[in-house]
Amino acid sequence: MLEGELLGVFALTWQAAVMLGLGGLLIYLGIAKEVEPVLLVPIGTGVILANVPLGGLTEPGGLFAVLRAAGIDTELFPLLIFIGVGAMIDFGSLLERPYTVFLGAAAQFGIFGTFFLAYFLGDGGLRLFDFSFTDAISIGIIGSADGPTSIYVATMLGSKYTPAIVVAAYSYMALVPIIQPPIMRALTTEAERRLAMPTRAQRVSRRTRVLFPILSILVVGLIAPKATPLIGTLMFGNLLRESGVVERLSRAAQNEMANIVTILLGLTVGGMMTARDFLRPETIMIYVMGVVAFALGTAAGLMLGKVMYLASGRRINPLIGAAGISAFPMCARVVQRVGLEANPHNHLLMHAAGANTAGQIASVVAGGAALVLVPFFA
Amino acid sequence: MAEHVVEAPAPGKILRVHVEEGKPVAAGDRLCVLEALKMELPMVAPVGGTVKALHMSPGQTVEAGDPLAVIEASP
Amino acid sequence: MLKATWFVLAGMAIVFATLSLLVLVMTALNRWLRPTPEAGAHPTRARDA
Repeated sequence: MLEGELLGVFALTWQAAVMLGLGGLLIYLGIAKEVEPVLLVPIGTGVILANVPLGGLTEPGGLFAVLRAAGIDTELFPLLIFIGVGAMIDFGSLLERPYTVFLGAAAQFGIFGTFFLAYFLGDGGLRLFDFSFTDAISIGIIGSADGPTSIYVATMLGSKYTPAIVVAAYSYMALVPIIQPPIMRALTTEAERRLAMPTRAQRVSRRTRVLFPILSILVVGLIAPKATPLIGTLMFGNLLRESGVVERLSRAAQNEMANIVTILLGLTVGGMMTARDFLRPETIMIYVMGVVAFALGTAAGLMLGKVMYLASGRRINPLIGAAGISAFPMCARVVQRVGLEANPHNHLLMHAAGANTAGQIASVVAGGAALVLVPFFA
Repeated sequence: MAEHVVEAPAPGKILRVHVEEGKPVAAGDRLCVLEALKMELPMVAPVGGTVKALHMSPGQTVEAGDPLAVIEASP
Repeated sequence: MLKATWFVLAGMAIVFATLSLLVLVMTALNRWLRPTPEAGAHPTRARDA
């Protein structure tokens, strides 16, 4: 046994070797393909470090175990990230077009529809996979297209698949430009995609911008109290940005704090991906479900977009509904690209940004709603 | 002689201007490139005609709805 | 699966109810706190004036 303790090579199982390869793949995707490098490089490194045998980083007292207990189990990391996200987001495009909120709401069907499917494949119906009611919700939450929300909800529900769910959520966010356009083209007609929308919107006062984050905390918190930590940190960050008097804090939240927490979060999530927890058929199914979640959310947003197109007397381009899933600003850019492809004068960017930032709020509300409802169902 | 005002579709920064005042343009010609949300938006002429006025220069920041160029349609 | 169906419906209902309220809040803010011409475009200039 002595050589086993001395030389890691002898303790290397094939499962651990697969995980080392996976970590390498994530790092490769991040560096060579620039797929979400800010996340995939720390996550990939975390995977490698956690799976080098006898390294002890995931043992009690090891770096990853300490970070996980301090930042993930307590929900600290996702909430701190949310302060930074709030400080980065300009809700102006949403405030100028309040109706786009509904597109963000519709796209949350990605969460609930995927939950339904996962539960059906798991304990609720076919029992093909080991998906309990709460696991199914955690898998569905990939459809929030939001990393911190996914971590928050999956951890709150104590799902054993949290690492796979988080990695799926982050990797599909980078794949939005590949997943969305075919669905957008399939569900809309050429005439719908060509529709240009007005460049001008109503102006929004500074007082509105300052009051909005505070009132959102109250509205969301009073209806879906479990969403309060998420909406609270998000909107606190936004208040720092919009107040205009704490420029320093706003910048610190967007840069220093978000960056530091991203490093810690990425490493820790990578460190949670040990062979024992990760190499199982359920993980592959979670990845499949992730695509379903993004596709269902996109489709639901588009369908409500089509309803709005008709209800508005053909003044709203249904494509902006696809931006209802909250991967910001990737979805808004995809909508702009697909719209411009149909009509070179069609710039939907700001309209899509409205739906996109609405999606950010909506996914937080949906996460909170799921957490509120679980005790009544599970 | 209809005039067409090309407006900025989003707040952002003018990266490049491809036309000059007084010069003719064809419908679909690129007028300028606007950067918004870290994305480049190519603005093209809605009609063929003459560039009657230009309200932009490279590096300038614009608000959504700001006029960028006025094109006088050729008859 | 009936349980799951109700969960989906209740979840979407909470999402739409909450966001409808937010729309009301935004519309009200936009109506009552309409920007004065200068203040809307350039808040800093309004402060100096």
